[in-house]
Amino acid sequence: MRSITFGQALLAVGLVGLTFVLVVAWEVTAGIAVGEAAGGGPSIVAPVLALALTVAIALGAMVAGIRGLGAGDGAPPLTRSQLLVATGLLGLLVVTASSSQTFLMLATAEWLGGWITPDEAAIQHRYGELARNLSQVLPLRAVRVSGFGPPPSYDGALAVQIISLVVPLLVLAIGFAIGWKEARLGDQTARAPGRGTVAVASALFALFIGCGAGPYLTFDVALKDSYYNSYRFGEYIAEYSTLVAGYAVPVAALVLLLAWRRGRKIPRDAAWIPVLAALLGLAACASAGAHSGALLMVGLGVPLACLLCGALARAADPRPAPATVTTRHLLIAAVLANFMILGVFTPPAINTLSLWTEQNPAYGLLLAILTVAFVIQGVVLAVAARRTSSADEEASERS
Amino acid sequence: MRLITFPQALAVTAVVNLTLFLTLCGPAAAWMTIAEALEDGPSTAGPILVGVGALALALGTLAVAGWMMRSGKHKAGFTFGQLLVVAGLLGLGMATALSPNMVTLIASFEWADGYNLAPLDESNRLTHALARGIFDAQTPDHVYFGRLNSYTPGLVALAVSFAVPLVVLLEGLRRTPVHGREDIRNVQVVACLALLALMLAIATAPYAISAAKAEAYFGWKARLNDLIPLGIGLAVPVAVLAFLLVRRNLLNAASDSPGHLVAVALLGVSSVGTATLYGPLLVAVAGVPLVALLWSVLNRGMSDEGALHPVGMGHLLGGVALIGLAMCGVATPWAIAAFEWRRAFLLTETWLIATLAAAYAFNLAILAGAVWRLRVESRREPASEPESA
Repeated sequence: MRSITFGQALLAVGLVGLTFVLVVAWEVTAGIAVGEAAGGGPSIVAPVLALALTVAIALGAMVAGIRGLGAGDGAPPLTRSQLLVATGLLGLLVVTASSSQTFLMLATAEWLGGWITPDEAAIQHRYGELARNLSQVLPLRAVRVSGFGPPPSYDGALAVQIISLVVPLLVLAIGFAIGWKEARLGDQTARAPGRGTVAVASALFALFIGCGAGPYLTFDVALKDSYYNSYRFGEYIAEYSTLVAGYAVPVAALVLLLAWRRGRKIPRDAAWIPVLAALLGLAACASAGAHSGALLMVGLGVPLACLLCGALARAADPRPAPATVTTRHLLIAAVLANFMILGVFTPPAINTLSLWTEQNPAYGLLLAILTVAFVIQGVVLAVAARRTSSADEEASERS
Repeated sequence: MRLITFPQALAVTAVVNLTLFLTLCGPAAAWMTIAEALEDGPSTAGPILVGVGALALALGTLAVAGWMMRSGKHKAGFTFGQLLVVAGLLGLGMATALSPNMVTLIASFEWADGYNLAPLDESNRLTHALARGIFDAQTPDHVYFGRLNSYTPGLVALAVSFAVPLVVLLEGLRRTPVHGREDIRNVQVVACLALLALMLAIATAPYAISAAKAEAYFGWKARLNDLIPLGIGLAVPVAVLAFLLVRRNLLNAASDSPGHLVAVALLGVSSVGTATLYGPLLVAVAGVPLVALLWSVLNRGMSDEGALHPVGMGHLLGGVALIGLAMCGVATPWAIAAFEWRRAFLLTETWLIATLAAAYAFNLAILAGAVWRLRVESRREPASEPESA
């Protein structure tokens, strides 16, 4: 991350955020149009406000980024606090844009609560039927199957939405506070983001992806509850597992990293890095995959862009590069990509399993495939971690 | 790509192919369970054969990679022929991973005689329900209620989806030099990306064509949902390959041509758009370049030592445009479906068109900005020697 300036980071965050909100807006406008056509349909104030706020934040970030570029090639590389600010800003954009979908659903639920249409004209009745099934309008895999009336309560989704909005704001505040402290002390040497700070930023990014998907997944549980008219845990296991993975894995990683940092016990070897990255990738892809393709692409695309930047900067680095990669690095790269594939695959597999166990057909083969896929990647990950650890030991012995 | 050896690439290809098959064969596994639960149900030989073939391909590739690594003779960088071999193997893996969809469809069709099941009565009620469930167990899930009158076009597409990667693989083997090495040029890497994108689209074609046939019941517009992403997925790589072939001489001399960037961006948007129809495949499409980048990043170790030069604005904008266009690609197939749906209900689509058009226009503008910046930056830099022919 040192290969990028703060201005460049802000510009990139603004551009990615703006694209994301445009894609999400496209999805939400379908619902808004149906609501409007129904005549006296759901209120569109909240989703439109969320979209407008996201666009404003994205444009603000872009303007700040362009102003930061004024320093030209002499601009200093990204600092620790600036990395946190950029990460928090990206998270805020993701969560605010995603919240427009949640707010549309909440407005629809409110509207459906008092919906009576016995005497409406045929055309209005038709749109009324569409509006009743607004949840089917949105291209989200999770809710598509369960647009059968209002949820009994949306308090859970609203609470998760508020928490999700608070988290990136908190990160932004911490980033600004550290930056202010650094500026006050004028300590130049302590400013570069180290391995631990980059790991924290990665965990925060995964958490923000979970925050983007979380409210909608909670709403989906409420909708299913309405459809099945009773609480059966098996019906909700896919939503709950992705919800828990999206929040719990990054939070656990953050707690571990902060505990290491506080006790100055960050391991010297790099074996923990692929493990942490694989778990975060798995959690982020699972929650984003259960939500929408656009969120999934943010989860994949942003690290891709960071790596691209790193690779391009290294290409410009005059220092000679080794001729080939080692097998351990190769294993790490393969296992990271494969864990992302597994992350997308797991929610529907769990869903199918829970459905099948209810109807009692044989599900052994499906379970076996899921298990085999995880076992293979677990073994590859363990081998990669072990080789990384032994390589570090050899390097330290040599030195 | 020069940072990785050929055996290492083969090993990664084998692991990715295996994971791809394991993640995409879930619906086929569901189908097989239903088929086996039925007395005298559809034949499961086809999907089992495909599964054995996928395992054999992955394990065979892994064995060859292991043998090459042990022999220690392949420590040099890639050649173009070897790159084609890896691309062909990846294409074959994609075709194998997606083929169970079509194979189970054919087996169901043969068994149910085109969905014409025996009249429903109490004795075969369960069988009837399960038989219909067999069609519902297919993926993607938009063939639920259509009726196929023939699977011949899908079968032809399936044969083509295996033939094209085999041709690429054989061409790669033919071009792989026995002695000496030939460095890869950037234009060759882009050509390989285009071939991969083409093979991806061809691998999705059998089921997309069958789905379009099944949806004929709902009118020709329903077919567009499948055929438009497929058409874009096929047309873009072909256009890129044609462009590279026509401008070969010019592009050969350029190490960092804006033409390459535009080609890769277009390939990204078309591939992601096609792969969106098959969830995990989307991640594989993004994951493979991710792995390629990780190779180069991890190769430098994970140390924080040493300051690095800032990235040029052209590269930065180019990276952002790639992500943005890929996201547009994810949104587009659903957009086409929703557009048709909305038209059927006489809803206004102005905002839908405006926002998606804005997303595309915005990212295309960024891409144009990236191209412009790259040109400016390349003029500022001292002229570098053209890569070896």
